[in-house]
Amino acid sequence: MAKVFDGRPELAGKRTDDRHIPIDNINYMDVTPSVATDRVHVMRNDRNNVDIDVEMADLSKNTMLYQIESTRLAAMFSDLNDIITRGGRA
Amino acid sequence: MGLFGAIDTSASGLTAERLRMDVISNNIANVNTTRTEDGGPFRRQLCIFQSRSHEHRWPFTAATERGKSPVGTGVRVAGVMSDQSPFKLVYDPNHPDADKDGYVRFPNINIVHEMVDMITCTRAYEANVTSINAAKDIVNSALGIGRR
Repeated sequence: MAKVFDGRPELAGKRTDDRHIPIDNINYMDVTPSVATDRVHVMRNDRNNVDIDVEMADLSKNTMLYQIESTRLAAMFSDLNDIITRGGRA
Repeated sequence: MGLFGAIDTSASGLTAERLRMDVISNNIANVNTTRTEDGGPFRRQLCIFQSRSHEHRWPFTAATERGKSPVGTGVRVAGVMSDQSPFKLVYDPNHPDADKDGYVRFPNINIVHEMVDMITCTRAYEANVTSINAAKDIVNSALGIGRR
């Protein structure tokens, strides 16, 4: 786990056919988020331009995206579990 | 509009209604103001709302959500303007701001009008919140399709 989060993953699936599902060497260091500062909009006279309504809407959008992605990830693990426990038993 | 277009649209309504509430509160606070920086009594202010098209989109929305569509993307406040109706004249010769005939010019604000505006503003804000909650319910029920 520590190696993976340090950007030194070791496990990678070998593929002998292009149609195999890739088990990639995903490097988490490749994710480079950036922060953008909004200097365009005006909200208050003290130059604080945080719009609480827009922030709350963005918050709920973020929550829903997280729920969607975590649900799909849980379903993927559930599928893998089915394959491991019940695979080959027809 | 993308998955969350309705939420952005309603959020613009929330922002606009909140600004309108600020203006109404300012009118109520200044209902007896006879002096301003510009001279003369306070003039009633009102918000001008304008429908928002794609040019006025929040700059951080994804480029894919900015495609042309006949559906608008909410509301924006075009400006705060002054009500040009005449001031109320009240006869009070002892008032420091009275003119030579003893009349004082008071703001052109009707407090009852402002209270009613405040109620419509609150209800409009609540309607936008309801709209956002409906959009959230829709996304959550779409999520339920993939859950098992």
